[in-house]
Amino acid sequence: MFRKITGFVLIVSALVSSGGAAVADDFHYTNLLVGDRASGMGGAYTAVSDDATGLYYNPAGVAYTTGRNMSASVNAYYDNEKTYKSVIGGNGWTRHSSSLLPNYFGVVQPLGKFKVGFSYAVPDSIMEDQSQTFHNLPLNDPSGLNKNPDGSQATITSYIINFNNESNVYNLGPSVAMELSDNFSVGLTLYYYDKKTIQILNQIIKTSNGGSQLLNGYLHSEQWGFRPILGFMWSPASNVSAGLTVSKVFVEGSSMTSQNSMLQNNIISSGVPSGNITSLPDAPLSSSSSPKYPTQIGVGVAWFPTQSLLFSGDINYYTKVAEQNLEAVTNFAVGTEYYLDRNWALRGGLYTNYANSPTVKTGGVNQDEHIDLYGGTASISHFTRNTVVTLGGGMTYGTGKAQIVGDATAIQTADSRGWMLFLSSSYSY
Amino acid sequence: MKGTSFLFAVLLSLGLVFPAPLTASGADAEFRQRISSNDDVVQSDVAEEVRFGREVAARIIARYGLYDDPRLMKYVNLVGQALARSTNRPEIEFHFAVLNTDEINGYAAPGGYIFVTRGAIAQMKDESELAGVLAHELGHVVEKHVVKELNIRSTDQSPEAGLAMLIGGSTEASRAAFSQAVDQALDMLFKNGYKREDEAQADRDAVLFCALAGYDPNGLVRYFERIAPLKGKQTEVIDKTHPPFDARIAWLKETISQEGIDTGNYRRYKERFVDSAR
Repeated sequence: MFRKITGFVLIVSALVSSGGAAVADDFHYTNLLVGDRASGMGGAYTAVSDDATGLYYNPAGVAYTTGRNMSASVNAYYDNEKTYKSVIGGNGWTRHSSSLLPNYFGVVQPLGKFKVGFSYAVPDSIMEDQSQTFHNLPLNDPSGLNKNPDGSQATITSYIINFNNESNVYNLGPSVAMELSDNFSVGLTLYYYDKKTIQILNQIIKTSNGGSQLLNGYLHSEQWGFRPILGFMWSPASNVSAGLTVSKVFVEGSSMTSQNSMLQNNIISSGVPSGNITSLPDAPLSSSSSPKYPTQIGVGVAWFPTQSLLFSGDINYYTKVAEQNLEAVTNFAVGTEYYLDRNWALRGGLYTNYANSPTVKTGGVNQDEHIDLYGGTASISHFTRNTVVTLGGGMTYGTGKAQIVGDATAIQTADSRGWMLFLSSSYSY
Repeated sequence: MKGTSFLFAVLLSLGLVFPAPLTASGADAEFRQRISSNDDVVQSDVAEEVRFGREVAARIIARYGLYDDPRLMKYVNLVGQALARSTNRPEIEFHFAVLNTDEINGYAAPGGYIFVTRGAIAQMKDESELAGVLAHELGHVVEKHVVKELNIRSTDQSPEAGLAMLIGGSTEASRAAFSQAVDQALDMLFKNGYKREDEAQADRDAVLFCALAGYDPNGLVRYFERIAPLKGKQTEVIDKTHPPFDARIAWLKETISQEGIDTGNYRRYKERFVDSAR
């Protein structure tokens, strides 16, 4: 919505609009790893999934849970920093997001020949609270009408931006799984899907010729629908399992309200009336269009060579969604688990998180950023009779291209760095 | 378009896009068991098993009632205790009782609670047949079939477990789980049955327990052959919850053969049975 403002304020507003990425991270599909064991294994869990975390990764695996009842929860701290180079007068633009959130809870229980469960997952979350000030920037003034008293071109003496962005995706719902034979099971999770976003932008610009501009922007959006995950698990050999999942988010309703307001004094900009402006525009805009999401097909293989060792690998394919300008993406993950003894286990994993946006091309404008990410995770678990406590962490890194300034052909180099720590527990009784 | 997406979602939800089931290769999910679940059995586990079994036994008795015949009850207990001496669970105190029902069956609750029905005893001809039925039920207890299936064990009281419960938000859930597990155990006994391999193991155990106690291991074979043709309400539960008798008879005979048991050297005690059970 911020992109709608034209003229002089573009230099600021475009920063946020291109950060449309700020609506959770719509440019990637593996933004938060969920689950204790799965997170430590880089999310390579489709063919494992034999605990409460399986409700999210592959509900068919839940058919193989042991114990009467089990629950698992994960509390994680995420920190991510994205830097766009040479954006404003040669300065870099950095966006920082961090959050502490319980991102998974699941409980599984046998019910006759079925295993039933309920889980709650937050697979995507952004919490940005940004305050940044720039000084002595050149003024983007193609008209050349903004002059200092001595006739020279006016400049920006100070540019203050405060930006708050909170965007979360929630999945919650029931699951059911059953063994169809000794080596084949099927499961279904039906999540209620909800995505909420709130953005508030305030920015103040002061120019060397005494001009000033205040911009306030507000956006609130919500999508709701459901996300079924259908899973299958097959054991083709005595220590090998293969998993298959198909899922898709169906948005059944959405709402979006946005509003921009501006005060401007002694600044002349193209596209808006000259002189002092008190509001541009001041009426809220609303929309109820429902975006489309890709179908996700996950395939995984796990090898259990001993009771102490496990290897797993996943391939997740996301279909192209032309309406949303999303390219098809294939992500990969590999993970391993090794038990030092029956009380301690180590895990590690690697995964890709490729961008679903088209490659940024020279000459285009308002293109979405394209940053391919790579991640690694590790965790350590301690087992007692009924419990598992896990401490883990991970890092992501990637570079790519972005076009952070709206309606301009300039392309910026961007990099993204993130890390996370999580503490989780599962309990069986 | 929204309707189309909804339809697709419903199809997914209903599982109508299931592929044809793949051919089983004989593999099972035991390979998924991790070393962390190889827990030592501790005394508190036995206490929990007995506590759990007592609850299940109470529900069995509530369903059928006990047969009011102290002499028969004492006799069944003596036979059962003779068999129990041959088992490898000395930490368990076994209890045997006769259920007041025409149904033909036997039941075992974890912790050593063994039942045989009045209807089953009415079909028996000698003490070795009674011993065979009791020994089969002993096998379920000795092998901890219910305990393993439902993961009955004592609760971890360590501070770490407390922390995990706090983080996991499962504070009162174990109480509900105990009650649910009792219901599951009763479903196993009256509706779903044990796993086929568990029944086979209990039958094989019965052969060994009978032989070790001096009873003719063929007693259970003869008893099965007699009740196999019976149909109707008397055998409704046993037919529903157990493998076919011909399969059971086959693996009983196979066990006797494999163990090299000469059944001619073992006793049937027909007179003693007639005196006490008739």
